[in-house]
Amino acid sequence: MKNGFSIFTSAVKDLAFWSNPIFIRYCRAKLRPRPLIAWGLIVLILTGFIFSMTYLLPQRQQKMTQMEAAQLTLLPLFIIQCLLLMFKGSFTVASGITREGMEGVLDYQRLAPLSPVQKIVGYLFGLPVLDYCLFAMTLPFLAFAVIKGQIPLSILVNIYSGFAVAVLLYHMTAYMAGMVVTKRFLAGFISQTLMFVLYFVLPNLKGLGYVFFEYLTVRPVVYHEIGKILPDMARSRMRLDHVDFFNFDLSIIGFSLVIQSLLFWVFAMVVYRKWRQESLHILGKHATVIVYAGIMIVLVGSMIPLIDTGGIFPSQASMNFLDIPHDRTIDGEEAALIPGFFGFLTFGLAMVLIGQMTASSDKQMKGWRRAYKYGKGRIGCGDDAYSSLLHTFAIILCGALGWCLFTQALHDSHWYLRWSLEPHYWVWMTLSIALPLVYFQMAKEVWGMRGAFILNLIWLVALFLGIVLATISDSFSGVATYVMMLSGYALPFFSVEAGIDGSTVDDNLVGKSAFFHSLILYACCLPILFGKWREHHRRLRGETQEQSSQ
Amino acid sequence: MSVTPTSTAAISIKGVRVDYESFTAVRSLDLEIYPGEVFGLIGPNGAGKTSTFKVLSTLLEPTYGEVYIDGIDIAEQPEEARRRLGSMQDLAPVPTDLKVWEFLDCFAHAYGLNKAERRQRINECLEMVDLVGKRDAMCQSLSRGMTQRVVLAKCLLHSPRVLLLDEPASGMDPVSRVRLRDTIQELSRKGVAVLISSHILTELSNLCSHIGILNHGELLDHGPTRDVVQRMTKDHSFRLIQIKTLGANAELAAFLDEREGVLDLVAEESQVRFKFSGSPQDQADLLKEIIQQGLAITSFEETETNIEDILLGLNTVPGSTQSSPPLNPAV
Repeated sequence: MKNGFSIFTSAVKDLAFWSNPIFIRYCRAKLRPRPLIAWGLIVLILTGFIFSMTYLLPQRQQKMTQMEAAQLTLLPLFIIQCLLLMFKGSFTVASGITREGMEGVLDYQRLAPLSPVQKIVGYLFGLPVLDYCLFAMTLPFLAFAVIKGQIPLSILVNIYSGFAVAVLLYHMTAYMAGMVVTKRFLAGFISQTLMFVLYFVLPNLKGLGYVFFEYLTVRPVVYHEIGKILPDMARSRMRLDHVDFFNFDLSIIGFSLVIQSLLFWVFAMVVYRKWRQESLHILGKHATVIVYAGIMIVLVGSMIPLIDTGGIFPSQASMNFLDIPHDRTIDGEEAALIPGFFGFLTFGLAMVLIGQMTASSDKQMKGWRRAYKYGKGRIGCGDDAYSSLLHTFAIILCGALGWCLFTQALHDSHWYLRWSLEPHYWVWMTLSIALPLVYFQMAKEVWGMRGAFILNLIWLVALFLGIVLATISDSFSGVATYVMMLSGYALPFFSVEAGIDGSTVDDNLVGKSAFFHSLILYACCLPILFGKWREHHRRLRGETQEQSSQ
Repeated sequence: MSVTPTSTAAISIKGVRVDYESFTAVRSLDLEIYPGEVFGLIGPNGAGKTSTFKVLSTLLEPTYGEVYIDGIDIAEQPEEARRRLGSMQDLAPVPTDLKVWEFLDCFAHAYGLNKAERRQRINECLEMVDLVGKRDAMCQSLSRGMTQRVVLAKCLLHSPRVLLLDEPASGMDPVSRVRLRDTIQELSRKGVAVLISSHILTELSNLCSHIGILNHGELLDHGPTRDVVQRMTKDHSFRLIQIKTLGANAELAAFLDEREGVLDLVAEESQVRFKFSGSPQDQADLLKEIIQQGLAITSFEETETNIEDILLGLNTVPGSTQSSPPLNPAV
């Protein structure tokens, strides 16, 4: 009981940002009277002007009541608050942490006897403290709008809880980028790009059924909640009033908060590890597998309900959106492209995560040294230095399971009546990602970044060469398919064709043949690579054992 | 040269090796530094000094080996080790948006001092580095030397048992250097172990009770400063001779160059330095001949080898454990 209590008090102490030395340091630096007054005046004048115009003009021109006009001010006010906290605030966090890194001040903080959680909290709330103050200056306008507009508190709570989580997520994104990118000049740029991609690029993938990216933003919550008081404004933006996830109907606010919170914790975990020891991997091995499994669950869960409506097929989604009458069928290429693209995404994401969790030789050596020092015969399974092969298999399993579930759901729908799945389709799909991913893992583990880079280069050249050959002449299409099939990137696409019975494209047979030949080639070379991999581990272990015994 | 960690050593380094992929920055470093010692680590650029400092300050995990700070294994208890050491990097930065006292207060707070203790300790540390007058100045307005002193004050806030100073005198004026030396000596008297690296070698000669010579990641020798200097020069059958000239020295250099026993001749603006391998009688004959030649010299003296000569003479072959100290800095 005492132990539990001490853990609780320790956690409270770590999270108490108001007494955090780093937070206080930023309060002192950022809230000096001159910049505070200057920024405060700018914000008050602009907000006051926009608020007055939104409140007064509709009353005079459109004969709105005071209540209606006050409700209308909620949206521009919210946009100003977003600009202050999400954009200015995130920029402040990214540039601040980057500058600390460039100047070398981060190393001081690393040596300061504060827990990693205190360091996370201190920077997360400290760097954008001026932006929080500016946000606070807009609250009187919000209070006026709420009182005059008789806006229900439940709406306000929903909007601002979504907003708070989104703000923390974007600040954490910037913080993580600043900590992870070792070339500090790049960090600011990358963190801004990451935020732009998260906010403006990824949500557009909803046209391909990847709707869950939309819920990483505050938009669905805002449109849904504002729709309750300003129905005309929100109608064109958001048609759904709930989220379909597998067979469940979830509330938009709940789903959005959960998705954003999960991502926040993943980023927080990354920053935590980087504070603990800069040389640690971005994510631990078990966490990497869990994160990958989580992404697959969210992707598959949010895509499967879209299949019936056709929202997952670009041709159908665009026609649905524009209310164009159509015969509601898809062609063979689209039928193969949708699961193929999903497979490629599964493969690509797995490769990124496997790459980050695979240790360099240097790190593996350090792991062996530690193991010998503490009298253990092996490196711990979750240790960064441990071989990532087992975790690679776990990732492959999660990816293949998600992909097969999705493909099965597609073929169970009315869209795929013309085609049927081969009984062993899942074997080909699994092998199409498993073999290249194992190659990638072994290349990275044995030859480091250089090995991984060369392998990717070979795959890229094979893919491009195949495309060029196919473009030159139709007579080369067979050769082109074989060349392309050497690339790990192409295998997921062709595995879909190999698993589908019924012609999807004209040269289906050539594709199938090339795919199987490629699988055989990959499988035959695997023992050689595995031999190298074993030899590498034996050598490392032997060398380290020798050093440790000296 | 294996060392077993002892409870009395403030810093105990055992078999530390640092690899950056295929490059080895430090090879099997064994060293013990005791409370009250001021240990100077010297070596040319790329010798492995900064990597050693990073390992000691827990910022870098060594590939092999163990490090104990005040008896604490830094791999097992890095947080505890950090509480006992103060570390100052080369060209140490300060946040430009804070006042001097605010910068120090942030760290004093992190070390768990209450408000009254913080105020008192900040004043004490500023006094130690002679910066009381700059308490309310913005860090941005400080000169390089003052910045170094502020960072030193920061390192002293928690009364560390071990102080790691990488180029602490960079940018300091002569008066500040003297003050720094006094501060370090005072800390040493209080039992603080100080590990210091500096390219200002005269500063090390005066300051360090012990030195270690690091080259290509290997510790060539270490011990009390005088002993190391003697060891590095003994067994060499030559003397270091410096002749000061009146005006141009080209004629003298040409004369010496043809003489037997003259090695590593360096002719500078108004002086000539070289190694002479002959007997004292030969040396007397040489002086006599120079005078007979009518060459205008103002002094002829045999000099002692110092740390600078040792550093300049470090053999550039990796793995070498013996080094002869040639005088020619161009080598």
